[in-house]
Amino acid sequence: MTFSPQIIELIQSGIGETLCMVFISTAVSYLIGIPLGIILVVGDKDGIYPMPVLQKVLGVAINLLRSVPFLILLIMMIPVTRRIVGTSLGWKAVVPPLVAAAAPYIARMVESSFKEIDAGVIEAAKSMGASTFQIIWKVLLPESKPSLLVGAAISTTTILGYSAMAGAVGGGGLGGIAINYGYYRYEVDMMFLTVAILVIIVQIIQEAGMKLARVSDKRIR
Amino acid sequence: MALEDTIIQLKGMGKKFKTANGPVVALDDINLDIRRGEIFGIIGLSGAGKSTLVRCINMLEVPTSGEVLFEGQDLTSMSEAGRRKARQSMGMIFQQFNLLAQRNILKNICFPMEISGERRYSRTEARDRAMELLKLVGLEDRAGAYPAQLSGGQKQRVAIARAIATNPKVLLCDEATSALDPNTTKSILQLLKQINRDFGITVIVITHEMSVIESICDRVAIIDKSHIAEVGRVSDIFSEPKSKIGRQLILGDAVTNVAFDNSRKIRIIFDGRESMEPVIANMILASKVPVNILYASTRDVGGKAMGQMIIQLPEDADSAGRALHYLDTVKIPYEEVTGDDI
Repeated sequence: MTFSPQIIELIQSGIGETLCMVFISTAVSYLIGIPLGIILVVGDKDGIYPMPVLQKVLGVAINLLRSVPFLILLIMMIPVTRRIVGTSLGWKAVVPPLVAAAAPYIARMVESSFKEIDAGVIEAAKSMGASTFQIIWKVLLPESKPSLLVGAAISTTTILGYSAMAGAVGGGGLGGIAINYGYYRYEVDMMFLTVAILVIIVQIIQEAGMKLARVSDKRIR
Repeated sequence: MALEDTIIQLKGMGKKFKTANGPVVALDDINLDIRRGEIFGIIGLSGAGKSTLVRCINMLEVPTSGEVLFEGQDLTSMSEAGRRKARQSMGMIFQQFNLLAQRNILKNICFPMEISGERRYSRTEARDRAMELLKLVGLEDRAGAYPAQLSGGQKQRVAIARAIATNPKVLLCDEATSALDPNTTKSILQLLKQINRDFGITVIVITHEMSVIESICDRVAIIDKSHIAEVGRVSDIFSEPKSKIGRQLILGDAVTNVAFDNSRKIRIIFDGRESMEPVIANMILASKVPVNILYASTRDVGGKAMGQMIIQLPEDADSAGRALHYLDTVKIPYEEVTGDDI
């Protein structure tokens, strides 16, 4: 099969849009998700700085947000998106709902990474007189780095999946091309092409993330 | 160094845990004085409360009653910030070493200096101090290695170096040798002794192994069922354990299986003084009374032979009296043993 230069250009800009929305959303989601994950772990009733009420409320809020199907969230957030980005169309308009969907997910990923750390190591830091902040900054974050990187690879690919869904409501990117050309115009070639590109992107992100995690992990020798 | 100066004092200290099955008393009415510069052992069976006890000393566990005085200041009534400051004067090592897996060992030793609020260390200052400590524990050539690349004994050496990096006054050791083989245990204990001697750091050792107490401790507390059963100099307690748990720990379980019949039995105590003397042989010759040796155990404590022997006296009261009279005249301590109470 051959593609016209226009189509190739379309695909290229689709890849660019997809990568932009995925990486920006992932970055913003992590900025929100890491602090939330820290509160979930540290604020636990058996944590190093118990805040049981806040921790419970946060847990419930996260679960609530995570139970809304992404497509519905996308539509429900249109007024919010308009206020933030000025439009409800195009790849930029997908970023706010993506963040809303991914941040709670990432908070849970970060929580599980922190929980992998041996309680004894935290106890040792405490025995040396470390403050809560020092434990977070010098023990929790660096000790869970490999696990956080694995989580980042999984989260990014999940966000990529969500971003493709946004095509259904005028979100642009590869997902938009797959739906507009492949589904509405029955151009099966286009659909397969975009899906193939998505598969390759997922592979690259996943492999790179795992590799980075492996290299950074000092436990494996 | 003044050995009689008290550094840590526990007064009526208790700890209750709330569990799903109601409150559990982990420690009850613990009173202990730990002297500056000594190596103090706390021994007990698992579940006796010794790990909780050591955690109450540095407030990793907050006691539910009583006081913990560190250099005269009550830690239980202190703010969290005050406790953090106090903890920086108390190093701690653990059974599982608890090193930071993602830091190399030099950086592990730098950790307490990085977080120290008491005294600020510059980066090079911390590195130099860490190298000096690595030399002390004999691992200067492994500075760049990660904990996963070290053996258990090496990890514990790093943990010790880390625990004393900020020059604490006390080193708490929670089952520090329980995960190590006998030879490694010996070398770690030597290192602890060396640190105690060279830096005057008071060492508190928690263990379930009698051999650990024997080889390095000056004094020992035996803890049983949340209470202190007895406290004293290691040589005294080893030669003459007064509590039942003390006898069990020191004599082992084997002796409880020895069968006794109805005649009188006595325990002769060797406190190191008469180990050069053939006590039993002399007693038999002097009193012309045959005795039956039921149990004997001696060990080397601090270079002196310590131990005890349980002998059975003849049923006839007259002969028994003569044997005891001999022990009285040569001033060898003994005590009557009744029933299964050994």
